[in-house]
Amino acid sequence: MTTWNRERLASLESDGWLITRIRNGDLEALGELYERHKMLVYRTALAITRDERAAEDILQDTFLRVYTYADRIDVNVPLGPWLYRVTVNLAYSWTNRVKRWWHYLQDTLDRLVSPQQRLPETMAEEQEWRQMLQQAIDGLSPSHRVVIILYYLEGLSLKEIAYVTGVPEGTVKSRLHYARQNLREAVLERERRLVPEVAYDFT
Amino acid sequence: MTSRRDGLKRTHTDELGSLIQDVLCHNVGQVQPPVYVWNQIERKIKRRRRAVSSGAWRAMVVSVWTGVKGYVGWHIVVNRDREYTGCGGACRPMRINLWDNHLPLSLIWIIEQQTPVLQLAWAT
Repeated sequence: MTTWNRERLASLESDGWLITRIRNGDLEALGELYERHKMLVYRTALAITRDERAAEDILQDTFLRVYTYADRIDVNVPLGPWLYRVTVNLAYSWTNRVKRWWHYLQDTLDRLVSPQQRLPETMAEEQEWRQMLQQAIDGLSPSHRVVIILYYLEGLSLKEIAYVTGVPEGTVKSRLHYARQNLREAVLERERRLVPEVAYDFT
Repeated sequence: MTSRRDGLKRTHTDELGSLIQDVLCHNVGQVQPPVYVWNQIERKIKRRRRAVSSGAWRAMVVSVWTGVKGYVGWHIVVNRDREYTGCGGACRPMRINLWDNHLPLSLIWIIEQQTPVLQLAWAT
């Protein structure tokens, strides 16, 4: 048995054990589970919503659901996918509630108040790059954005993303393809604006 | 779900993939949720537990009270053979005819005691 498998098995056993304790109303067990998985949930929620308060609410709701539905959680499978699934669903609901213009407004405000003018040239350029790509990611439809985040940030496979989002693997593959295409377009568009004669092609 | 990897450590060979990963990791890779989130979770669960235990106590009191009222009620029913409406299968009807057959049948008061709240209805 490899180290990775042993670690995974140990984590699996202890997650299952914590869930069993939570079923009996053990709040400390929930605390342990929270410490173990809070980053995963918060990071994913924040990446999708781009709103700290929303990510906090999602984190809170997710662990309240763990407590409420502990009886329904299968202790024989890893908890991670279940957490991703709940997080993504809650983030979807939040995204549907919030108007997209709010993001644009916030981005505009960020640009106006950002201190990049004072940064050295290279740092400002790097910052601008990141900001541009982040805006492009934010501009994707929620279903495409979720796939990009789960694939690139969380490192899930297509099969895993299919489970989390509840769509076939082929759909995930297609969403990833179109999302990447949109992002590539955004990057190329920026390149064209900066240096019109250069057409840099991303692989 | 066997091929779980750490996305923050996975590297992408294509340039666009690396850029996307770099941006996402830079923005949210190392973020920590505030401490008060756990405090809020803890508080909500404790509040819920208190509500559940007080609810169970209330339900017990109500069931005892209902039993007492039901016992008293069956003794004051006058016309037990009459038709009544508006009562579900699980409820226990208590009919009180205040006028003892001096009024038409359609004016019989029926008191249904299905829930702690008494329901009042007309019989036809």
